[in-house]
Amino acid sequence: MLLEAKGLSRSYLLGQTTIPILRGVDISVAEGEFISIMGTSGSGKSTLLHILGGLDTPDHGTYIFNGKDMLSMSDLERSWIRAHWIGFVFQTFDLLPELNVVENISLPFLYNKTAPDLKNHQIKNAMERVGLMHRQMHRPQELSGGEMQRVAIARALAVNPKLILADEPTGNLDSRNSLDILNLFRDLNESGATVIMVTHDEKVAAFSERTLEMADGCLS
Amino acid sequence: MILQFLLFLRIAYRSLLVHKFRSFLSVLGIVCGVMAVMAMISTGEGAKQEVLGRIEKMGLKNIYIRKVELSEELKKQVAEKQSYGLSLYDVERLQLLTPAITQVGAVRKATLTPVGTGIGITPNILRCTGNYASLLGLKIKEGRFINELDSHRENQVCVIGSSLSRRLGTEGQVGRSVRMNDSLYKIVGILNSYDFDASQTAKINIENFNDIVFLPLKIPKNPTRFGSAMRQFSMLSHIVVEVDRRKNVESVAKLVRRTLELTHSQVLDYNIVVPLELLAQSLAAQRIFNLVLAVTGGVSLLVGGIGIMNIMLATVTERRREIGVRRAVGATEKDIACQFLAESFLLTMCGGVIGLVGGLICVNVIEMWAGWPIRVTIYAMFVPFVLACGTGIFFGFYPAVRAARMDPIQALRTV
Repeated sequence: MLLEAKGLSRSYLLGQTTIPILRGVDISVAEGEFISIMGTSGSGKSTLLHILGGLDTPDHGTYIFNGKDMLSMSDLERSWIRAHWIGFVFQTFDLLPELNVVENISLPFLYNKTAPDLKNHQIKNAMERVGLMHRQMHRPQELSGGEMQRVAIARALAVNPKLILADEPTGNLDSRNSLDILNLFRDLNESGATVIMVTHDEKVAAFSERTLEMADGCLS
Repeated sequence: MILQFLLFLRIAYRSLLVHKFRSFLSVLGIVCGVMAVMAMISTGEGAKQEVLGRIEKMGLKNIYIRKVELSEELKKQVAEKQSYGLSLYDVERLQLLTPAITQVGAVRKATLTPVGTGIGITPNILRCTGNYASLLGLKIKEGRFINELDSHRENQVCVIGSSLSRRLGTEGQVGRSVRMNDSLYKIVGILNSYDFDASQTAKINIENFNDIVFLPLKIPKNPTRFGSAMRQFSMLSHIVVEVDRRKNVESVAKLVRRTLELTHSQVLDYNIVVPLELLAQSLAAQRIFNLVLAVTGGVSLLVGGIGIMNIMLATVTERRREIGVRRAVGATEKDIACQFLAESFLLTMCGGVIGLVGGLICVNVIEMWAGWPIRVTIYAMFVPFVLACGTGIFFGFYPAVRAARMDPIQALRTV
C-alpha cells in the first residue's frame, strides 16, 4: 500500500459551532492506482485530499504514507514529503503570473534539493509529457485554460512524485479540454503514476479505475 | 544557505517588478530618509572639518589676545584709566606669569607702504617677534625668519609670503630688497605657501600669510621695564601665548584673563580667543547637530519602515493563494518567511541605493548653490544604507511571519 488512512475525522470551527467535515474516513491506495473521489460540494472531499497531501492534519485517525506516519511529523518533514513525493493539481491552475511556463514548472525545485542536471532533465521530461515544449517561454496569461492546466500538471509531475492529487482538475475547463486533461491523467497512470482525483462529475470519475463516494463525511 | 537567499532575492525581484510603480511608491519614504541622512551627515562633516581646520591652524596650545576697536564708551574708559591697549609690557608680564607658558609672541601692524614695486596690491605688513613663525607653525621655504637679534638691532630686514614673492618676480628673491616708505628692507626669507581661503577667515581672524610682509618688532633699547614709556610703546595688534600642554590651556587662559584685567585696569580694550575652547564649543555644537540628525533620520526611516510594513501586509493578504500553492509544492514555513523577508529587504535596499544616488545629487546641488563645504565620507553613505536595509528586515519581519503562519488550507480556499 502506498497510503493507508484509518478513522480520519476533521471538523472546522465556524463561528461558535463546530462543523464536522470528515467522520471517520478509511482509505487505502495501492501504488499505480487511479482513484476518483466523488461527492457534492461541501462533502469533505477536498479536505480529505489536503489531509492525504499533508497540508492539513485530521483531528483523529491515523495516516501512513509510504511507510511513514504523516501525523507525527513536523512542518519541515511534511514539507519535505510534499516537495519530493506529492504533486498537487488545483481547479484554478494556480500558476504564478510573473513566471513563465518553465519557471512555473520548476517552482517545486525551489524546495526540493535535486541536482541541477537531473532537475533540468525532469522539467524537460514533464513538459514533453504534457505537450508544452513549444510554449516554454510564455506567461500563464498567454495560455488557454487547457494549456494552463497542463502546465500545472507538469509542475506536479516534474519532481517524479509517488502520488498526484488533483482537486477538480477539469472544473474550470470546457468539455474538449477536460477530455484532453483526463486522457493525460490516464496516460500518466498507465505509465505508473498513482493518481487521486476529486470531482463531482460522474463522467470525469468514469476515467478512473476505482470510484469512491463521499457523503456526509464518510467514504463508501 | 546564502545561495538559497540569493534565489529568494531573485524571486523577490521578479514579484516586485510585477508592481513596479507600487514598489517604488512604497519605498519612497526610505529613499527620502536615506537621502536626508546622507546629505545631513555630509554637510555636517564638511562644516566640522572646516571649523576644525581653521581652529587647528590657530594652534590648539595657543591663546590669542587681540586688540579691539574702541567704542566711544571704551575710549572714555581708556582715557580715564590710562590703559593703552596691548603693549610689550603685557608681553613681559605674561612671559613671567607661569612656567606653563613656554613663549609669548607679539605682532603690531606697521603703517608702511611699499614703493616702486608695481605689484598693485598693498600687502599686509606686520612687525612681529622672532618666535611668531614657530607659534603659528609657519614654514620657511627659503632663507630664515625674523629673529630676536633683528628686533634688538633694528635690522632693516623682512620675510615675505610666497605669492607676494612670486608677484615680485626676480625682485622677490632672498637677498633683494623691498622699499617701503623711505627705507630699504632686505628680504631674508620667503614663507612656504599657506593653505588659505579668504572665505574662511570671517569668524576666526587668520592673516593671509601668502601676501604678507613680516618685519622685526622694535624693542626699546634700554627699557625701563615697567615704566610708562614701555607701556605706551607699541600698540600691539595681538599677542600669542603658547602653553606647554593642552591640558594646561584652560587654567593658563584663566590666569591670563586675570592678569590682563589687572594690567589694563579692567578696561576691556582687548579680547581673548582660546582655540581649544572654540574647538570644544564647536564639537559640542556638532554633537547637538548629530543628535538632531539621528532623530530626523530615525523618524524618516521609521515612517518609511511603517510604509514598507503596510505594503508587505497588503501583499501577504493579496498573495494568499500563492502562499498556499507554494506550501503545496513543498515550501516550509521558513521558506515562505524568507521569501517575504527577502522581498522587503530587496525593496528597502533598492530604496537605499536610490536614496544614496539622490543624496549625492542633493549634496552636489547644495555645494554648488549654497557654497557649503561638503564632505562625503564612507560613513555618510554606509550608515543610511545599512539603516535602510535594516529597516526592511525589521519591518518586514512581522508580515513575513504572518505569511509563514498562514494555514495552507485557508490560503488555498481563498480564490
